Amino acid sequence: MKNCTTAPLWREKLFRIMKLTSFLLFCVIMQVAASGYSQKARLQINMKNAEVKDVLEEIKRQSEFDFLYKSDLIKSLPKVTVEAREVQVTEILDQIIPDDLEYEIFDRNIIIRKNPHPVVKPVEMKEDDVDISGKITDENGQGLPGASVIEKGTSNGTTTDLDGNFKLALDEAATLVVSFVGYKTAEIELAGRSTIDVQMELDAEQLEEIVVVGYGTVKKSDMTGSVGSVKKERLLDRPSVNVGQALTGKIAGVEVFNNSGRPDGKIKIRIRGNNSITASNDPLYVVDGIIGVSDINLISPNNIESLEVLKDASATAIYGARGANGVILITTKRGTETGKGSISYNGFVSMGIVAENQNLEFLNAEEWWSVYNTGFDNIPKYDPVGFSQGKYNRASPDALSLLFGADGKPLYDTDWEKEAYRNTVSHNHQLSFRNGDKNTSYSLFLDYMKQEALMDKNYLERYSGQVNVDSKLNPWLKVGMNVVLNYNTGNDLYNLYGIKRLAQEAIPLIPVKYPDGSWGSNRDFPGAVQDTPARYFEDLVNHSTTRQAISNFYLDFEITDQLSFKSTFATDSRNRKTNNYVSRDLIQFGGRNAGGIARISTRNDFYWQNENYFNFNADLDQNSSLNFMLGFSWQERTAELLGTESRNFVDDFYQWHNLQNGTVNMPSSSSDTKSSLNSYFARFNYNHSNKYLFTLTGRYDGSSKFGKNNKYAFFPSLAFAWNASNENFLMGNDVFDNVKFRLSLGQTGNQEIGDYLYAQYLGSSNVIFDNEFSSTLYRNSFGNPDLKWETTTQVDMGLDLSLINGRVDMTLDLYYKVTDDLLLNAPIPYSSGLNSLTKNIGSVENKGLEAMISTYNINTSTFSWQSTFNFATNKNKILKLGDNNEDIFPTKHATGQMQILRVDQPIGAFWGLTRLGTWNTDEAAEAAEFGRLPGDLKYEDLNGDNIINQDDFGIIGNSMPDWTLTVFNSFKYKNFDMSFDLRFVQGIDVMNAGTHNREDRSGVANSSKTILNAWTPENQNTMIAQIRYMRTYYDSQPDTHWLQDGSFVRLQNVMLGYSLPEPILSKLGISQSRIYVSGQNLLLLTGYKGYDPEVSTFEGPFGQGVDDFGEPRAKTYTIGLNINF
Amino acid sequence: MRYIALIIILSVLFSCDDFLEQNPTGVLTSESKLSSPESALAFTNSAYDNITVSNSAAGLWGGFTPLLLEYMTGKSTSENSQSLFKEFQDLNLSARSPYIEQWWQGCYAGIAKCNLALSKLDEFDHLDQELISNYKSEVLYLRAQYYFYLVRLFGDVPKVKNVQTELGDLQLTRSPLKEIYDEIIIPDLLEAEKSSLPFKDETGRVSMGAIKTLLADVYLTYAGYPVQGGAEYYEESAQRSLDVINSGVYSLFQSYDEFRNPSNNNSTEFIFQTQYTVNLRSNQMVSTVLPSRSGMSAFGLEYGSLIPSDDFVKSYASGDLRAEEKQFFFRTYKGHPSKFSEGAPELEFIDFNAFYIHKFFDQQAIDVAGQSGLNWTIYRYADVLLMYAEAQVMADGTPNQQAFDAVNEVRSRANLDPVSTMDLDAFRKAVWDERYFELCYENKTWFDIIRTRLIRDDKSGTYMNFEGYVNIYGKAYSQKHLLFPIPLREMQTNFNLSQNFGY
Repeated sequence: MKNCTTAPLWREKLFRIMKLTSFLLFCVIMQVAASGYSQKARLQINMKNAEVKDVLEEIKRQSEFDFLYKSDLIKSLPKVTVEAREVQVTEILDQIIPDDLEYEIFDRNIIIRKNPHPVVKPVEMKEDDVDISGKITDENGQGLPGASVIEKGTSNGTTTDLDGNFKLALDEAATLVVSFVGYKTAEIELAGRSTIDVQMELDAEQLEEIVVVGYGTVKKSDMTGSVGSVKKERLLDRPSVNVGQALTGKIAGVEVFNNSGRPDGKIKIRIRGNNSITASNDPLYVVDGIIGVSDINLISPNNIESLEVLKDASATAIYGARGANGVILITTKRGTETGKGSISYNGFVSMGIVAENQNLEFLNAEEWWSVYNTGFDNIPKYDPVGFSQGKYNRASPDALSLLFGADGKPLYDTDWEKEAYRNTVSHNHQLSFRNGDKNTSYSLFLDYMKQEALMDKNYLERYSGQVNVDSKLNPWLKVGMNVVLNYNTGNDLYNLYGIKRLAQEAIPLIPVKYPDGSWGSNRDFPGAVQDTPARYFEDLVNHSTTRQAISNFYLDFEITDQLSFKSTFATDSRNRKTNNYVSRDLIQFGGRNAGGIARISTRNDFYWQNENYFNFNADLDQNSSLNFMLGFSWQERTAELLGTESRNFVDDFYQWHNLQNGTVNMPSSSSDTKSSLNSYFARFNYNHSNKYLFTLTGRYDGSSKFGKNNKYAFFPSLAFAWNASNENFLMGNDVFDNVKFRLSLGQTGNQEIGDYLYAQYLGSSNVIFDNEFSSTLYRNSFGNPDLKWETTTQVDMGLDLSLINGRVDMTLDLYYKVTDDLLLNAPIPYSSGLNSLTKNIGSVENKGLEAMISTYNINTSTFSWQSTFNFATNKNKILKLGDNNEDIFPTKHATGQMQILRVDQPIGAFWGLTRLGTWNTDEAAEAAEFGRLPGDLKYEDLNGDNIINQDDFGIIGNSMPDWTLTVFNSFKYKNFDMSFDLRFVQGIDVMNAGTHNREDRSGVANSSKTILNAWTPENQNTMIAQIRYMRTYYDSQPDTHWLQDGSFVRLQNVMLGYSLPEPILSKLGISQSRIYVSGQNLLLLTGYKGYDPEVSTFEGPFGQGVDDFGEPRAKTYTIGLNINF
Repeated sequence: MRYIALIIILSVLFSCDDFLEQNPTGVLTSESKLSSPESALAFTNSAYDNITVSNSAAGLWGGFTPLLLEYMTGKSTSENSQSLFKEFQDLNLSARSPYIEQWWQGCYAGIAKCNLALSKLDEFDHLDQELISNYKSEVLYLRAQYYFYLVRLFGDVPKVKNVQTELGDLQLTRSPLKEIYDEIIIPDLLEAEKSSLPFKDETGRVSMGAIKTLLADVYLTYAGYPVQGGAEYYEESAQRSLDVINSGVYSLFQSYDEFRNPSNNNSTEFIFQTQYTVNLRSNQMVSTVLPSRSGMSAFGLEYGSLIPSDDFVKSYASGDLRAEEKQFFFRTYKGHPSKFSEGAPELEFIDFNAFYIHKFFDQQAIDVAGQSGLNWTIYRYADVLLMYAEAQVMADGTPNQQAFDAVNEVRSRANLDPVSTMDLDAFRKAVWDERYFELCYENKTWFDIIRTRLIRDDKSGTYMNFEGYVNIYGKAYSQKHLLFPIPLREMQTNFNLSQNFGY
């Protein structure tokens, strides 16, 4: 890349100097809404006999102003002398710009051009002129500084001061024209008044939103790709502790699954469906340009300025081999440039209440005892031989004096759900300090969170700090840095399937503790096993600590006015340590056999990247401009794992703190991996008349993960947009403010598989000889030198529409994408000695529609109402699998396969038997053909062979929704604001696998109340088999009865806020303050018969919608406070 | 200044050519050069890795590979709903059965390791060649063992003798079963038989005794169905058994308790076993055969997945020690303190009122450890004695004294009277009976059934034709049941495979 150093220095001769500086990028990040910079900036200039051009340059040097003009306009101007101290820019410009020219200030950009109506400065007041004064306010009623107030048809005018006040001498019959960038121009007839207050109305069209894209930013109107953007206000419109929660339902086509009540929320994000089967389906996260940040949930949503989701190929192709699952760009907050420091506090306290779900109830002690006895009563029917042998011993209350009173009634009735899940209190506090001036700005954020999980003893605590500095060293060099430090610590037992299961299965007859203080245990009842969940919380610890440091340094070099160069160096380092202890008395998890087990495992991740790119902007002529970006990057990621385990302790006291106290030391384990990427990327934008926009993007990626025959690949994309509203036939149209058609086509890749999979390995295991391990060496991978990326080809058609003065905003996207060369962990014949091979085989398609509609229903000075609808639908289909299109079974339940990957079916289709009900007494003969009795389950015999076996399994459902919709409404009345989100997820199935334990057997663990509706001779029309002791055989396999409709409507959030009014604020010396209360998950409408249909109990890409002992979710009530000083 | 700075900055940003070359640090690749004696041993050891196929988890709750061969005999039942026992009770086999898939997968995984070990061992020409030759003999034994399982379970199977390196090598057709015997199983064992391996090995490695025993079994099977190789193979078989008997290094345990004691692993009667050791690898069959959820053991769970049928246990001759309480079977025990409250009467005594298998009753594991180091037996001396008796009478037409001695050695331990002066049919039946009663639930019975195509009727004590025999659950065996279906997954990944008859 060295030849880049001689990149041509574009001469001004070639193009007229009309450039936007590279600061724009940062100005955008600051985005201090319409701050009236020109009023605030003070200049000091002392120049004699200087060229106007030089004066402008000096203004530029001292400030953030940038000038746009044709150089010949000012080339021939007479030399000027300026002597100014602490003045506004207008004072100087008025002095040096002659009357035949005019200038216009747009925030920090000043345009100088020919004046079509040379100004006649009002030198004297006319007799009938009167002094008019007033205040111009923004949509919130805050004074709007720098607004221009002009008498219509004249050049008589002024601008408002810092508080939005103005004073002007006017003709009594005059009409005032008030304008400000981003607001609709207002015309007010004086009509004899001497005081005029005007509240300005936002102009959605003019308030040009800037959107962050890969390696740059772009005005929303110039976007050619499909990008969803969420600014901080919307991101934080409900209390959230991680990015996933904050993003839920906010962008169409971005499906956020909040899968649990656990502290980390177990968020899963899918953008436009699932593309992959073996490789990751997670989107790529880019935080302040750092690609692939390891754990996005460690980042506090409070620190985020804006979040963009890149969806189509045009937007994502710049991330090449990692863009296929979509990209989430996070831009964190930076310092201010106002010269005025600010301190703010945001905090909330939440209370989590275990949501009562009437769809899942468990037997109480009396019911359970009755079901147990029914089971024994029915043994003679189901095992007459065993019964006559006397094989079954019924538990008798007499022999169980611990659990039954003398009257034969249970002594205890424990609600184990209540013992396992509790109500919680969580805190979140953030302090931010921001300051800076036009040359140097900085900010500091401190964040503390403690989140309690519903499951007892589970919590997550996070301390995080962020500091950043941006500094302009001289007119051509800007440097900056950003450091984020996170410290997370907590106890998480949610990963232990057994606890969640026992919370449902523990027998209600058993007490938490007996009166003598000893633990109750299921084992106290014959045939039952395991301790109770309450005991697990005491005897199991799974404590982990994660430290993450993200740092980012950049320099931004302005080579010429048109050409800049940016280089960044960033690191992401993460250390995770997990401490685990199973106490000496706990029979489960091997505690008692081992005499206590302590484990410590650590994982260290380190990532660095260096990215460098040139950016070139030029206006070719008055109507067309181009932008060209070219860059290259290096990235390397390493991971190092270490684990150690010690057993047999003298006392539980030591836990993991003193491994040497354990007398049995298990072998330590270690491993490490490394991967690297080397990339070259470019983007070319061409804009013709703001009507026709073209974007060409390409990235050339090389990855160490792939075989030697396929190290590098190229990912191109092409996009075109047509701003029809800028065509003459739509100009001045009252209905259409903005009409833009977008079309994009391109390819992206997915390389997220393990490292070194291309090679053939010798694995090692142990065999036993003479009671000792002896090592083996054998081939454990087939190796594939042709291994390469998955390639997703996507076409996207979009429409951006803004109607009726911005009252209605719409974005519609239709997309179709096909992922080829699937990185499939494809099964190979077992006769190879191996099970599978990672190879590029198979295809998957996704097609869908996304719509986002925002409406400003009511917008008056005291009341406003705004609604947003996000709708998405995606259809997923496997087109090809493996050499022979063989089925793949990705998830297995103890009783059989539950999901299938099959051609022409969506990824993650559910697989099972069809349960028709139960055999009636008058169907006894037919039942007998299947070896069943009346009261047994009746399954559909798919192949008609009078045998129910695995050949009667079929596809019975789908784990992805047909469509999702989020409806967001916000209201403002004076100082009150209110909002709510309703989320609809429809046409989704959930495999409620716990039904196996809750209904398909009984007597050894607790069951759900639904088992009370089991088959009896009097109750034959039921889906639940007759109760019998489980050792006499129950049918139980994944089936249509376990599979349930998981569609739901959730009231995601309701919030009510109150902002303190100005007079009180000024008395208190604070600039803004808002208190709010909110409720999350207050209402869930679903027919699903588990805790919550939004569930994933299995890891991996197929776990979504599998509920094998999920956990309840909280209803959360929050009270919060924001203050800015 | 501006441009100097730029040049400095850019010149720092250099690329290095091998940036994308990342090599694993923790694992060897097949190209790694290995020369140490330890690595030669490690390749040899890998051949043993999958011998656990004879007793490994089949991905079901309480489901292990031995269950497949026992369920098929119709002489066992299950209390564990998830053991898929119903499929077997109804003689209703599915190509999706995890048991069947596990057997297939495990054997071929072992074969691939043998193939690699054989080819790698050739590279160790700088080491003692006798040592290398013995290593190879161990591997050859194991390859023969894996194939011997495969041909008996599935019939014709793909033949893999070398390391497969190209994806195109994987789509194999099935080779005739006889070809597998003639080109792999028998030659491998004959080659191994030439080695200087010791006759007995108490560490668990392959010994000459094991090689001879497997050869005896292979020839006996080859002489029977479906190959029906002829009398000469009975003779070959008898010769190998006799070699083992005459070696004098093996003998029967005095009592059946000694079978169940892990300290006797690999000793005395045991010829070849799958190895288990407490804390390293626990034998799961020990808890699998205990009464379901009975609370009688220190194991987390008792599964009740394999339970002898009443008819079978009751068909033992009266006075047969093996049928007495706590010999091969048990009906009573006591509750485990971890599973019953203090003072519960179960802690003293539980009557299960049904027969359970006592053969794998590792008392220390059941009462204390909750994990068992008891080995799983593939060959033991009693099997050799009975193989000899059967092969001898089939080769010679009449039993000789040594054959009577062999059978009577097994019978006398069971307190049964010796047999003498019998004709071929009567003697053969006596041997078969002994095989049923002595080797039950050790994965022998099913293989005896299919090589003889006869099945013992427990009620009448007579041998019935396999085809058409109705088991105690009222289901009739047919020709298709002689072989298991090729696993569906294998059929789907290898287009060149044909399915077995009837599936």
